[in-house]
Amino acid sequence: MSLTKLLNLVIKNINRNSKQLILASIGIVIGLWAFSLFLSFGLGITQVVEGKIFPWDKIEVIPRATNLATRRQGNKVNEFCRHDDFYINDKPNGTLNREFSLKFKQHKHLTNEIVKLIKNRPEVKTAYPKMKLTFPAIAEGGMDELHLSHPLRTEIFADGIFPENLVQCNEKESENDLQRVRGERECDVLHPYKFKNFDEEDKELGFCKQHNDCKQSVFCNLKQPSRVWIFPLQKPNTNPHKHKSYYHRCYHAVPVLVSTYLLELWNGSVAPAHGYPKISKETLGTFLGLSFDVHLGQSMFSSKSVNIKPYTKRFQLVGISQKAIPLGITMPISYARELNKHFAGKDEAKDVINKEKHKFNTYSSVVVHVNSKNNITTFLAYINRLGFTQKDTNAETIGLVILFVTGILVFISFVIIIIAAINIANTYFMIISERRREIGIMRAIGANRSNIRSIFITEAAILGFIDGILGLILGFLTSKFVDWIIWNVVPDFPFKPASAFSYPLWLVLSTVLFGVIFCMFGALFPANHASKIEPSEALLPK
Amino acid sequence: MTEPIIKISKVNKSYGTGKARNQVLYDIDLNIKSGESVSIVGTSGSGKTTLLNIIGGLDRRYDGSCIVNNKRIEKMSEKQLSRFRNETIGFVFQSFNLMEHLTSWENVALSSYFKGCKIKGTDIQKRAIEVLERVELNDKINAYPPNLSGGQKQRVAIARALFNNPDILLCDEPTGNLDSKTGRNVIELFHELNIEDKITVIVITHEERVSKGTDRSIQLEDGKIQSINTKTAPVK
Repeated sequence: MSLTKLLNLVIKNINRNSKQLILASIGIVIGLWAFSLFLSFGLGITQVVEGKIFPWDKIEVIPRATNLATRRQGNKVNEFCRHDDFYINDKPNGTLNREFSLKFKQHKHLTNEIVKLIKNRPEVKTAYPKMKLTFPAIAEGGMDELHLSHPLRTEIFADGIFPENLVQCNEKESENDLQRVRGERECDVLHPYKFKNFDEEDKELGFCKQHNDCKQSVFCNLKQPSRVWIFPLQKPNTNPHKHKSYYHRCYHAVPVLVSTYLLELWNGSVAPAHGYPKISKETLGTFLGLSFDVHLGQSMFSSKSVNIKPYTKRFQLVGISQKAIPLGITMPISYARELNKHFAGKDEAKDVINKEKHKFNTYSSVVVHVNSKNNITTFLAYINRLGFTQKDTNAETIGLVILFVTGILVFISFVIIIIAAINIANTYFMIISERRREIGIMRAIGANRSNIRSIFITEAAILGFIDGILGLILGFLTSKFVDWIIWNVVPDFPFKPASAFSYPLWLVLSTVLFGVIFCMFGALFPANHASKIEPSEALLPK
Repeated sequence: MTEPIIKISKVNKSYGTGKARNQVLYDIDLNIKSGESVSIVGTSGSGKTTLLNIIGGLDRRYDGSCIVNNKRIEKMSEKQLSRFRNETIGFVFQSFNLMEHLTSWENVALSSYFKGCKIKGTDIQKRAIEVLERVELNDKINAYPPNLSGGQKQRVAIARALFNNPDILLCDEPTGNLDSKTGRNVIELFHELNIEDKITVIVITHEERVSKGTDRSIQLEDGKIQSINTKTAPVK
């Protein structure tokens, strides 16, 4: 029997039994509805977790907490020599080149060389180093800008990155960027702000006694009594000592970035709880440019801080970036290096002691974006061989939890679908008993058993196809409704996604496919039964 | 002398087993010539329909041998039997047995759906209309069975049986549900098909006027052939 003829016959049959079949299909539609909704929810949440909270492609390489730092054995080197991955300098005495020896050493610190090695890996898309501040700090400020009765005061964590690893946008680019949705913005630093080291520029700035003495967006270094400036004589003929006066230097505040993660936390938890304004496209202007004092070397947690005398510096928020430290502030790496050096342990001659040198000579971590998920294992093995490890983000655990919950929900929807398939089977047994005589006629005019079977199974497949599409449409509408509720009714929470659901093509196809498969499965036994009916018996009068 | 198209010898048929066993046909021997018209008469339960089902390949669970068109029914596989029914036999039933959700022409063309070879859709429709014209139903091509009269329904059923140019037409009380005038028309149609198209026609009937119109009339009683009345020259 050709497919067109079969479909022609089957569609007419469905039309005839439409009421019965609609009733029988309700279960399948509900099951597929639940299936598509639950699965798309699981996928949507995974996307939020993997994309925003713990990006799957982002690996933060850090030195091991305990590192034996042993050299590999010679025979190990030979073993690896055969590997294409490594290059051996072809010298007569077989001396290994520097790059090679680097690869076979267990390293303790992330040096420039290591960063270069990591950057050159085929699995790596981008890699940039970070330097953590190795001393405590307290941030204080925001009273005027946020119209508060008292300044915000918080212990902060900070790190530094190279400004060239950021996208610093000009005026036009900034305008365009603000038009995009939050997840798709490209600019890390928006016009007119700059993320760079201002030390050189600061030398050109004048002196001051208060902030107003300096030009706009430049601050007076009021709280650094250790740097007292003696202003040159304004009247050359007078006694210089008489006019000796303490002046401070005007200086640019240290530009800092905060993470999108922190922004989410602020908008979702901190701002609603304390009545602070949220950071949105409209209010971004208020937050960018916000400057605050950072008391370097001070801690809110313990009175025992560093030996070096604390001092205060002005910091200024210049951007919101995914590259910033999740909880804390990120500054140009040169500032971090300078500050770490300032607070590093020193000997009597005021030289930095050797074991403290790594604090400003090496990086605390290297943030790596891998090309594809499949390369993660290879890359992790590589950094492990170099003596480093990956910063644990708990992403795997959370991913497993999501997978488990999604799995249970999908299982429930499968149970619904299976029960519905049994219902389909029941309906088909009824339909077949009603059409018994018809089956007899078809057999009498030449239909064989497989013709009869395929008529019923195709009928069920078409039904399943329609059910799949209906289930999918219902699921999609429900997800839109839930998204609407999340956005309009539910209070803000961190990482509130644009949509909590995701409908990739495979989900759409598999929902329809499951509909088809389960309906066919339901019709299989009745169809088989129908095909075995003897025509002479089927044609007997009722 | 023409070879018999149907050769039935020592056919026994029973339903059930053990004490519930009910034998309906006893040692039936019957030869039917190609192009012959035969009527089978008998009381209800005499085994007429069972005999017709055996000839038509609808039932092959019997003892003995039944050769139709040089094919042994009992030896055929399920698929061969389906093909045999599709190509060699045309069935006409008392209650018409039309599919009510299909139009006249679709009912007629239904058997083409189960044909092994591919036929073009337009050819199928053309043939269906041709056959419907043969039974004088040109104006009811797109009508659904519920909108047809009893006689028209039976004509559609006959057209369906004729669609594949069968060698044998098996009719189980074709006039049973029709009034006498319509019944007469139907019988005339069978007569025409038998004479003009040389189709072998076997009719089960209760009506004497139907049986009298056929070449031979076989009287079945309790599963046995009681008598064979021949109108013209006998076959045996």
